[in-house]
Amino acid sequence: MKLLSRFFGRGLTCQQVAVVLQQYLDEELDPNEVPKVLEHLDACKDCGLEATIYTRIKASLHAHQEEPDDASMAKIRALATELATAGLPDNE
Amino acid sequence: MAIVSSGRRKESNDDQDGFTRYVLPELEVLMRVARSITGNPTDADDLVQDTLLRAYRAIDRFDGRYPRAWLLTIMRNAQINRVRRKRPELLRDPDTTLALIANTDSDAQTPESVVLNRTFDASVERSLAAIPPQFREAIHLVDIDGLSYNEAATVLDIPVGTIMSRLHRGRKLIRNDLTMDPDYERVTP
Repeated sequence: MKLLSRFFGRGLTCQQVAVVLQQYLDEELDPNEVPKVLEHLDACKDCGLEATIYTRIKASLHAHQEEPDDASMAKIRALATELATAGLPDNE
Repeated sequence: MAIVSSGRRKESNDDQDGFTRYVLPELEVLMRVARSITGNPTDADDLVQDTLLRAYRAIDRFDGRYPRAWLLTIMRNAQINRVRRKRPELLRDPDTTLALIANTDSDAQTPESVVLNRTFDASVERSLAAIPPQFREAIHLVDIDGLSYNEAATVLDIPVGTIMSRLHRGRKLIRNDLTMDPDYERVTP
């Protein structure tokens, strides 16, 4: 994403950071643009707090992730391994 | 494809190597995403099995680039077909179909006991359940299942920009909802 390129050469404003904050938190922002965002978050208490809140929300949401149960995974792995080694059953 | 002595239809060794290389490492991701878009474990198992069979048949046409996105595309199409078989009237409205297949069962999002801050997590969970389904499905795929923007867009067959918009709006609703939570002062960092 080149969204920030026009802003390079000076510090970002709070509004500019707000536009890209979610991409930054999702690690989807162009790595070349990350330092400017970090610089602003370190210097701006409000934006830093906002980033912290969203980080906590993301972490909380991620905690909802349920690992597939062992029985289901065993069944799927068995099918995948069978396909990889023996091919499709005739009825498929 | 050849018929081998066991009576099974078998792809070439190259194709089977490809299946092993590209598909087997993605099984857990496929299971999680299937759980998200079906809303229950039984349908998720069936959907992943269907996806694997389709992937096996198509492996000779796969160019080896972005295997996860390729598999998610197969899964999306498989799920659309499954929903249409169950609800043929939805053939007339593909948007409704997509919304329906991606709609998650809020009962399936109960947090596990590993959550460290139960008050904050409980507030986030309540807020997540209250936001519109199209925002919730984007958040589920990216924040819970761990897909990238591109991968989530593939699952839902929508532009990446739409995924970003739904994510941002959904998270903002959760964030704003938290500010109205009476526990907010205690859970804000």
